Amino acid sequence: MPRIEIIILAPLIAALLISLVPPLDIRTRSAMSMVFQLGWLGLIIFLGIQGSLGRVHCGLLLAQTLVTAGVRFRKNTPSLLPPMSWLLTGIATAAILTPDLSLLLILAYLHIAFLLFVTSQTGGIYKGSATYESFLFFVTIDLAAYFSISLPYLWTYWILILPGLARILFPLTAPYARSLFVNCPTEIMLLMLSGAVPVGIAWLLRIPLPCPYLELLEILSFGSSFFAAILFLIEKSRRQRAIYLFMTQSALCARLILGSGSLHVQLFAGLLCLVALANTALWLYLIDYPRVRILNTTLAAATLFLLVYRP
Amino acid sequence: MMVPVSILFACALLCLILETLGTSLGERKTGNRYYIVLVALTGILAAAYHLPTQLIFGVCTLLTLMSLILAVSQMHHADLELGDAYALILVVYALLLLLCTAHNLVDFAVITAFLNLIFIGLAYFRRSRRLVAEIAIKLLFSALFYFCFLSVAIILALQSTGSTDWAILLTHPEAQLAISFVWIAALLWIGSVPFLGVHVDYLDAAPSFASVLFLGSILISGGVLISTLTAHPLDPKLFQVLVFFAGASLLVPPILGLDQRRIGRMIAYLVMTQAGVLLLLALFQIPVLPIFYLHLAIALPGTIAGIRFWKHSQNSDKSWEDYAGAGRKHPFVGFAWLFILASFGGVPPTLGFWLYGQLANKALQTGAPWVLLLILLAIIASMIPIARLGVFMFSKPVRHDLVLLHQPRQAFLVITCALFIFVAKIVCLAIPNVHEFQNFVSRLPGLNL
Repeated sequence: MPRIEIIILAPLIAALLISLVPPLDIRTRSAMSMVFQLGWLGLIIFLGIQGSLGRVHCGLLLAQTLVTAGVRFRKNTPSLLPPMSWLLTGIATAAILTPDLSLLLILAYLHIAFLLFVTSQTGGIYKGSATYESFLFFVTIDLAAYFSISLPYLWTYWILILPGLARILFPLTAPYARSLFVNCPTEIMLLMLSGAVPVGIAWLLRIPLPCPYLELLEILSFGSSFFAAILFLIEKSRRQRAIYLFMTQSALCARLILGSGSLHVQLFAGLLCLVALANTALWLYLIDYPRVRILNTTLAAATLFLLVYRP
Repeated sequence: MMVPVSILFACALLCLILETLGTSLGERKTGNRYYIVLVALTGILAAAYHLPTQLIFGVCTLLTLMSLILAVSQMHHADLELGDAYALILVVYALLLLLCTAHNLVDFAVITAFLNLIFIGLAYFRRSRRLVAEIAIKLLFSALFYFCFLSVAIILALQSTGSTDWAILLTHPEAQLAISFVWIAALLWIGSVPFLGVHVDYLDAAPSFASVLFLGSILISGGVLISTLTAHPLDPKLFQVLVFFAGASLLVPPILGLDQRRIGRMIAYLVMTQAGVLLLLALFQIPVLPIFYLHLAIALPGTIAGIRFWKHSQNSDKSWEDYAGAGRKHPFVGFAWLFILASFGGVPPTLGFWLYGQLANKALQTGAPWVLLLILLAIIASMIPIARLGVFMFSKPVRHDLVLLHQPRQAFLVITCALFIFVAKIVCLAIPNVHEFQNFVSRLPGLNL
């Protein structure tokens, strides 16, 4: 197996190269970015076929890369952002691949901190305020989980799951989502979703403790899903609706991952969450094509069906 | 050998008093130069006599270099004669070295009293006379209180044990009261809660080499004193009280800092949390104090240089709004400065977080998991103003033409300090054993004594 450091360094070096490419014109830079993305995709597939990466890791990285692949920066985007997107990819990859729980949390924190830094660049005072609140929220839950890993108490389970739930936009743990995603450019939304959701799933799959109170978890997840469905119905903005639709599915996936003792069911739930992510990304790419909603609704209904008749 | 050194030292102190008085009265005589040379020579000789082979010398040397770099970059702004400040800085380091080798309470009391006097002198190397005069008066009262506490402790120690030697005092059962007074003096010396105000005033009004020197000196010398006091097992009740003060020192300054509109004062409060970190590290007897000193030696000049970088000569008191867009104009300096501040806050991946991590490990081993909650609250409380500053620096459109205020020397210092903190964190992770780290540092060229 190749050293993890090499995989972690690869996107950072790619970011450096992209930032050093002379901008012949604005489209050339975008094309170069695409070339690097394809190269990164090829590296993941190659390592997956070779057996160096596990199936879970491959799935998470591929979902992340495919969603990010659609990101196109606008002409007036600061030149710092394209390399930053690669830095984010590198940190998220390192977080997904690392075997150490503490390191995973630190990398997840770094990832979200840089992500919010990028997000804060995209708006005025209002966006700055939203990212500030989100940053403090993530600092609190991530570091609380970091310090809770070693504590010998059962109640720390509810702290441990928070970083994962917040990253997959579990409604009760994502109070920042509305303010952060409103009026957010599509590329930044995709950047956030592609980075945070795989890292969140990776963390949920690695929680070291079983759920101490399954009934409570079930009530929370179904209640959250129902709450997100209501928000989905009353929301008028199409982008916000895509996010709320994702929330309805991610809450149920979280229930399956945390509540099931079977590894296969957990992996299946993780896959469902990634499908929901790809589905949301598709919605955001094709936001001007209303018929795509049928596909979304179908996929959401299928997810719910599978959850009711548990595999 | 002892007599000449004592005489030389007495001469130096006499010169220092004359020099300080002369400066405070605004008299700049040519004859002062002789005093300055004498003071500097005396400091060097005194230091050479007492040269210790401890890591502390390496840290002090690093702090000297940083301070001197910063001093050089500041001198052209200040209305002073160049040699004065350098002479005082040299004497401070000579006294610090003596302080590290002090074996009894009397030595400690005398040396720290003179250190206080020098800091009053250094405070006068400022332009804003009224503010400086206020600080000097406060600092003078603080020094008097400090000396009073130590004097009472000396009297009590002599009455109870007949000696002022640390080894006897710390083990003698009847010296508890004297030790309690020493603890109060130690809390006052490092600026812990409830003795926070004077130090914050000093840092706020003197964001220059004097601030770096002042805070670095009180925390490093305070660390020596506190680690001496905690070398023997403490009374459990005293331990609880001290942990309470440590926790308050971690939480109260950043909460007070939230209310500040002026950035300089907010950062002064933020920096003062290090007194709480120092107390906790010493109370739990974690052998990373040298790395804590190293952290201070790197982060303090970087913090102050960051303030100076965006300081306008016509508007010295910058508020939040004045930093709007500052990070967008100078992204690398802005990011490096926030990284240094985040290290004081203690978030990953900084050296400050590594220190908190060591503390958390030790607290878990000793069955005190509530310390983790304290650390978490301290990090969050510190990060609230830092994150807000980051938002103002990077999120708002540029309002001022900050390019004109660009100062390469400060920029170099800020970025270098941020890189040093990052590299130090990696070195600490790579060499988890602190004794190995000490050996590593002692082998460095120029620091091997």
